[in-house]
Amino acid sequence: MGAKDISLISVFLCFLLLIVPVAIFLRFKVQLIKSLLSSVARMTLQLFLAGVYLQFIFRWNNVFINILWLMIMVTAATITVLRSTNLNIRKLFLSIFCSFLITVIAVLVYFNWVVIGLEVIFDSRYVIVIGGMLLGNSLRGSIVGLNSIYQQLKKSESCYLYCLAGGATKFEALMPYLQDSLKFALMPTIASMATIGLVHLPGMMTGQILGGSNPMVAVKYQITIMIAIFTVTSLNVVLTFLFSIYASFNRYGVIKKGIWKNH
Amino acid sequence: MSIFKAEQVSVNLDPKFSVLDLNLTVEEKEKILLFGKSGSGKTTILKMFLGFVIPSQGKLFFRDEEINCRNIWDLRSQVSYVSQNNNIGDIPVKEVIDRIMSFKVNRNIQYKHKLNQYLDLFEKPLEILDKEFSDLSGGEQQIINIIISLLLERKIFLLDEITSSLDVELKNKVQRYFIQQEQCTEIIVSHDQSWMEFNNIKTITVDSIWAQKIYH
Repeated sequence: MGAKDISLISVFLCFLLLIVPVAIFLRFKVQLIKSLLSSVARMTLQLFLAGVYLQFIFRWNNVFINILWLMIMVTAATITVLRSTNLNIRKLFLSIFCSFLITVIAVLVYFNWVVIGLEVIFDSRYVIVIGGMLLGNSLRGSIVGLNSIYQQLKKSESCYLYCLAGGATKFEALMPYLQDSLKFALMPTIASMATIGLVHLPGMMTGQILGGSNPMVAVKYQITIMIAIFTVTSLNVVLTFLFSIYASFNRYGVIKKGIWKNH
Repeated sequence: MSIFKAEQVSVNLDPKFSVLDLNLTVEEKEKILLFGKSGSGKTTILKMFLGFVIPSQGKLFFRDEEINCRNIWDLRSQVSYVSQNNNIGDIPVKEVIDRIMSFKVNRNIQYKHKLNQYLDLFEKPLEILDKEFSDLSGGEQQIINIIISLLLERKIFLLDEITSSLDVELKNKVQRYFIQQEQCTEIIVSHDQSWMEFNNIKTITVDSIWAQKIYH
């Protein structure tokens, strides 16, 4: 049993709904039509491509291909994070890539092995789908976290240096920045955990129910995945920062100017 | 043994401004006034001794040992630095002080009693501790920075324009206080001539210690 298939014609009929937002934009002279249409086009293309390659990946179900695919996803996530900050992509790519890879794989292994109890931990259906959810959902938090640290450092560099001059170690001087960044990165997820199920049913659960799962199974998956996402986000903010220290600070503990774009 | 020494130090800050061939020695217990116009590079000298600006050429010494990225941390724990414009942020003064004193190197200092004494000495009420640092006037911020530097109980001071926002009376008091610390080594950066009136202070005019300034 699965969800009822949607024919291509029906998909097209769904696109007709877009007339509503486009009409609204036209009426109220909001200049978003172009970006809306290009985003819809990208979404359609990317998702259809995903549909195609997922079919193959599920058919092959090869551990190495699965891990390779996971790494491609991590690369995409890293680039997305760095593009959304004003940080130098070349200098920080490796730290963020490693941090994402380590956190996702660590949490994924625990999740698939201990929580779900899979026999093949790197089974494609679980690795790609759960891994994708962990990455996608921790992306926002990671961006917020990373941005917060380096924005604050840029804004109050003199305060950071003052702490160093007062005898602080690099970690002592950086502690408040890390604390704030964890707060900013994680507070939205904490808030959404508290209201989940009241306002909306999250996508994963909806999908599972449409796919024919028992709602209780869907609920349990949703709860566990939320906790896993939260873990990935918090670990990722910390690890990204720790890894980026080498690229971002010189050996005297002073932040390198080249870490930001436009330098 | 000299406390600080610079040997033929040059630094490129940006394409428009370079500092070339600085030679400077600061002996123990000496009070050195680096005097000069703003923009002449006085602050840069202090920042170089703290490892915040790395010279492109030449050598810097602290207690006859060349400064490098390993011993700089020890240097920073022996030196008290009061910076020129130091906005520590939107937190109460009390927390600013507690934070600085919570660093491992400062953790053993008993400072609560001293804090009250210094507030009294520099004519600030106890209530100032509950105000947010960023809400203080420039002069009040300066006094708080000075008090923190004294609480650290260190013997070497790098003082960057510490009296620029103070009224004459308080300025004299601060100047006299630092000049009277016989055991302390001090580098005082200022464009205020009144420091020169003290006879145990050695004045170095900053424009004269740079061999050359380059303007492209």
